[in-house]
Amino acid sequence: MISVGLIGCGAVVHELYAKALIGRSAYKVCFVCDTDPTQAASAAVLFGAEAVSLEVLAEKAEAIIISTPPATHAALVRACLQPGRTIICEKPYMTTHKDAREICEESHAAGASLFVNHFRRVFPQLELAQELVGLGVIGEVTGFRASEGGRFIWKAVSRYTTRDPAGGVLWDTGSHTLDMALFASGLDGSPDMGVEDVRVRRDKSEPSHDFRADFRLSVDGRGVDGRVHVSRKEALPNLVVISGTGGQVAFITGLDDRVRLTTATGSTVLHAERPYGHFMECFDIQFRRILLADRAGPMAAENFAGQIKLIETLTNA
Amino acid sequence: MPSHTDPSVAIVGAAGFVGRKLLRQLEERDISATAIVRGLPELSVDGDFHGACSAALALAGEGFDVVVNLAYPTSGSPYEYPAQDEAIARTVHGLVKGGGRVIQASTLAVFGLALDRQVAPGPVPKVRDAAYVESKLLAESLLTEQQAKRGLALDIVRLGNVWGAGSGSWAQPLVQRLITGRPVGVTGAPGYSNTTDVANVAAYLAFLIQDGRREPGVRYHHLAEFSYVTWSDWADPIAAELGIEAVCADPSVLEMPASGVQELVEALAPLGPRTLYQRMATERTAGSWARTLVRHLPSPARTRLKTGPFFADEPDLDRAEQSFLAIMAGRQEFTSVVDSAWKPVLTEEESLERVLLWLDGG
Repeated sequence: MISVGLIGCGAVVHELYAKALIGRSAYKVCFVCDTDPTQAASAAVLFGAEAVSLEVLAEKAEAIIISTPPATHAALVRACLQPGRTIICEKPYMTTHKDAREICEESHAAGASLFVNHFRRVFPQLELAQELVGLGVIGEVTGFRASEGGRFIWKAVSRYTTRDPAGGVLWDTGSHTLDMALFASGLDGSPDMGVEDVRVRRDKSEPSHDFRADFRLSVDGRGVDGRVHVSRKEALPNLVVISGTGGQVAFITGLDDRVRLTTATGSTVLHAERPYGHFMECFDIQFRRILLADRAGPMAAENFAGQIKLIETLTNA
Repeated sequence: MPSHTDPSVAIVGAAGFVGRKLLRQLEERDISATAIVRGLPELSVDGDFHGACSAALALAGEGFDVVVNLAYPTSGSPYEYPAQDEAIARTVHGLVKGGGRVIQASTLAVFGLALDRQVAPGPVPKVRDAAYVESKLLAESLLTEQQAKRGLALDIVRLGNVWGAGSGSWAQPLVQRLITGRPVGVTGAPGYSNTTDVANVAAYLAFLIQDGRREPGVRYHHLAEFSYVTWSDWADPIAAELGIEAVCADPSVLEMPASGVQELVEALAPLGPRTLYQRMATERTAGSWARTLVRHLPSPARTRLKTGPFFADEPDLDRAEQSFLAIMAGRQEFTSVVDSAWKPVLTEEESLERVLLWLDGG
């Protein structure tokens, strides 16, 4: 059985991870730590784990899940790098492209396996959309637009979402939304893509709660137009639309199993082979794939450097 | 005592879709208002203008001349809604000054989600209905009781289906349904949308705040300036913008139980022999009993048990889906009954234009 250590015992751990990590035969949360002893003690009871210091956890746990505010990720991943260790970092992966690139390299050099917790990558509609685009069904990708917004109800214990410059809606919700667009477009494997012609509108300085941007990505010598709008204040269409030279695919951002495919011959809705009943199933699948080394590829950290570059560039615009 | 032009105003539930727009309208009219919100004010309302605060903090103050209540139960289990309604009513009661005015945002749904009861601008008796409907009816009733006891001015503003750019209840579901190929209407039954744009809702509430009326009594308003617009009038242009065709459901989806007894019979139907056997068969001991029992059944009954159905199959559409489509096919118009001096700020064309802009991310 793989011993898992949890660094950060906030809302995501108590409300989501607990349901996906308790009672599994192949892995068990054995160690937890948090800067707030109350949170650590609560998680320890929840998981039947031992509340320990960061140093002890980094020494003893075979696999480590980091679910702390984004600004702390770089230092914590570095503190956990060990040969043969699996590390899962909560999204957003890093807050700078420089860290995103360097830590991937450091992880490889240390012999550790580093992943990012982007559980939406197992959403059936996203897997199907990525497959369709990859097959060339819509030709070469020329652009995408993505939106996601609604009343913000997540209660981060650390309150980083209103205090930390990397806690704004683009880093938080937007990292999910943009990842869906980049993953489906097949652009997530371009860590050094150019981000140009950036135009941004936001409600306030970071951490902002309503953020929209138009931009152009430069990938392998071709341009891809992007548009994103994310909001904690108003409902948005919650759609991702990928356009190509031969058509487009569109899907909703919530858990679903349908993709709309539109080409010159018409428009139709395709269903993924395997629908899921609940999004918690996606957390479960993600942890299984990563911890048991079963189809973890899409979650490997190197797939997220491009996303961080895009978010960082938009944030700083 | 403040003059009619500058009453002290509190907006309960100011962080919602209507609340935000109302605060903006008030700001444009230079009317000061206090936003009563749950959670973090920073995430709830824009800017510092409204001095957002919790209900507890506001209740410690001297009270308000006008209290607009936009809050209603939105979380927790539906069986908790009555308690939440009572808590909201207590807050409103605590906030409004003697001789003050309460403006209660209610809904056309007090006449049924699909508007299947007779519409009239007056009191509506309590009936058994969906949790949301019962909750809204209870809220009207609680505030009416307060009005009678304290001699307040009470305006019950029953809103049509609040749509517009950023509408999570109507615009967003229409878009998502269109993209995923789910029906947005019923063939041969183009229902009245009975809609009101959120900008017009905010403008009307602001108008009422400004009109200065304080005479004790209950006044009923119905606001749905686009009541005559059919759902397909909204959905078709959105579909065209998305480059797709809207799908309609077969009229048979509207066949729902007509009474509580029929609902109970339908709810118990899955407990029929076949379902019971399938459920028991997976159990260790009960499965053994079930198999023994089945072995003693006459052959025709055994065949029916295997191939079913003993009772009608479960419907392909769940009840929420049916309710949505029933609203899309609603044939009763919820005509506006508003102050004759008020005019909407947004036309049908402008409303649609804003939704299409919102759709495009602009």
